[in-house]
Amino acid sequence: MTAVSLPAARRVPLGSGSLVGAVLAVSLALDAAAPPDRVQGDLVRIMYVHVPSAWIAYLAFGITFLASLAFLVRRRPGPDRLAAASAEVGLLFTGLTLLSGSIWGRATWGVWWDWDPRLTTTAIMFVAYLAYVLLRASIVDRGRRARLAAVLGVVAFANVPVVHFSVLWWRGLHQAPTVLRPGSPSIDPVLLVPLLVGVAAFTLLYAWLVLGRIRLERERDAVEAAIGAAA
Amino acid sequence: VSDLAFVAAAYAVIVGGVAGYAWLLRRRLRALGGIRDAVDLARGGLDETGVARTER
Repeated sequence: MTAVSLPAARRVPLGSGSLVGAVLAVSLALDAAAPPDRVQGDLVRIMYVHVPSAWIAYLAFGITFLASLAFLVRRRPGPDRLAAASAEVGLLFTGLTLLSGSIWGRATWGVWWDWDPRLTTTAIMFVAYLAYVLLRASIVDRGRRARLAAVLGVVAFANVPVVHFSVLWWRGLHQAPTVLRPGSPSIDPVLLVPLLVGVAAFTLLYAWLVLGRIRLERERDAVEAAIGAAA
Repeated sequence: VSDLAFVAAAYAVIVGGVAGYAWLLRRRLRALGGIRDAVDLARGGLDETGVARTER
């Protein structure tokens, strides 16, 4: 009997992650080299990963919003795949923002969690995009899944500006914006440089993960088409 | 608990979360590739070398 070696055993690379790894390494080195803050001391270093994570969440859900709109207008699979990929990666970074923020909060405020407006609206954002991911996972029909997900992708985005402006609209524990604010950033340049490098590194990481996730969507479509053809 | 322990915990959460997601993504890609190969195999059968005829 002939032994059958299926190509399923082949390696599944996500493309070269060496550039992303190198930029992240530079970013982490700058974080370590940055001076401690006058008030927060070494705890300020959490900012260099917490803030870029939050930025990626905004970016990812913005991309999901635009791709969902594009799908509703053009009904092509490309924007649907991009919306799905970006939402899932955004959900990951929202979760990481909440967890790293919780650790920072315990160290500076003395509590792991507070129903502060920024924290609460971020938790709502997490739940909304968790619903988006679960909705996609629960509908078998490809067309219906893409349509309903696109509608949710547009509606859920309404909360994202609320998250950003919550620190200005309501009083809470979370500090006001120091970079994305009217006028020039209020943060010292010594702390701003590693922060901006961190934002750039995380943006590259986001792009790498989204490209890998789009590949997964493409592969899933191919499997569904192959199963449909075989049935 | 020292400040640096909190910093280390926050970095571990971020690095672990991203690495875990990338690992999961690879596993999902591999699993889907396996399903696709199995469907190809079922549709086209094997050629004389024992490979699915519809293999890409």
